[in-house]
Amino acid sequence: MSGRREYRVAGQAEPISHFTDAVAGGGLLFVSGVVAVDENRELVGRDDVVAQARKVFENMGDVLRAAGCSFADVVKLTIFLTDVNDRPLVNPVRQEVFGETRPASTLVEIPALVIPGAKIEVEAVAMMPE
Amino acid sequence: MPSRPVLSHAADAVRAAGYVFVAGILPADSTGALVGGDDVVAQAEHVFGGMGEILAAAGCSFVDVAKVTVFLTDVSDRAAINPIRQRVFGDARPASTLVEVSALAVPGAKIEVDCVAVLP
Repeated sequence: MSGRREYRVAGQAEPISHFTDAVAGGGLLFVSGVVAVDENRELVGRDDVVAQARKVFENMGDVLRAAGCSFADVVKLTIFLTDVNDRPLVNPVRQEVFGETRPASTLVEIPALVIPGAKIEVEAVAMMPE
Repeated sequence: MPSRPVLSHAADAVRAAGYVFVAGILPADSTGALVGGDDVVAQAEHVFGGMGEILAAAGCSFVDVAKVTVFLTDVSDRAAINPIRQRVFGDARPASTLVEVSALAVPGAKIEVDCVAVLP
């Protein structure tokens, strides 16, 4: 399978459907949509989109590291917000975690996420090192 | 490639750089007519059936899928379609994102799914 490898990352909640945290193959790492939940799938950050975003990127950082990647390796980000007006609030968190790196990005508003109360979900594609 | 509705300027899938990028698949027949009525499970069966055909035509299968994106018009339908995902993917678990969207391109469609597979 051309080096296809699945990653289930310690500390991440059990996937709610038939999927895993990330899959690598062909030189890329595909990171599943990440929400602000702890390992018990309890929402973190309540109704504070900034606190939720911090948890989302903390979880994403853990998934990237488990595959040997970091935020600097991310080439594409897709951000789903339940309120597109939250974008400016989330942006400082993105600046903080990506630093000098700027991924390609799409951001859209959607009516609902799977986890009740979740305001943000983020997925990523990263380049595997080497 | 099987005959599928092409609603806009797109192909069923594109092979490039060791991957197969499969376009979003809707529950529609080759004329673009809705399949499955208002039954999200029947719709999802058609969608994943089509995905299997497209993957096979591109030289791979569900076990090669690295990422799947599921768009539902009602996020609470997630549980209803999960058994189909379990069946078609079997022991393989792709990366996945699932979100609710306000509308899909075929009227009455409740689900659209796209994917990226790694060529074996």
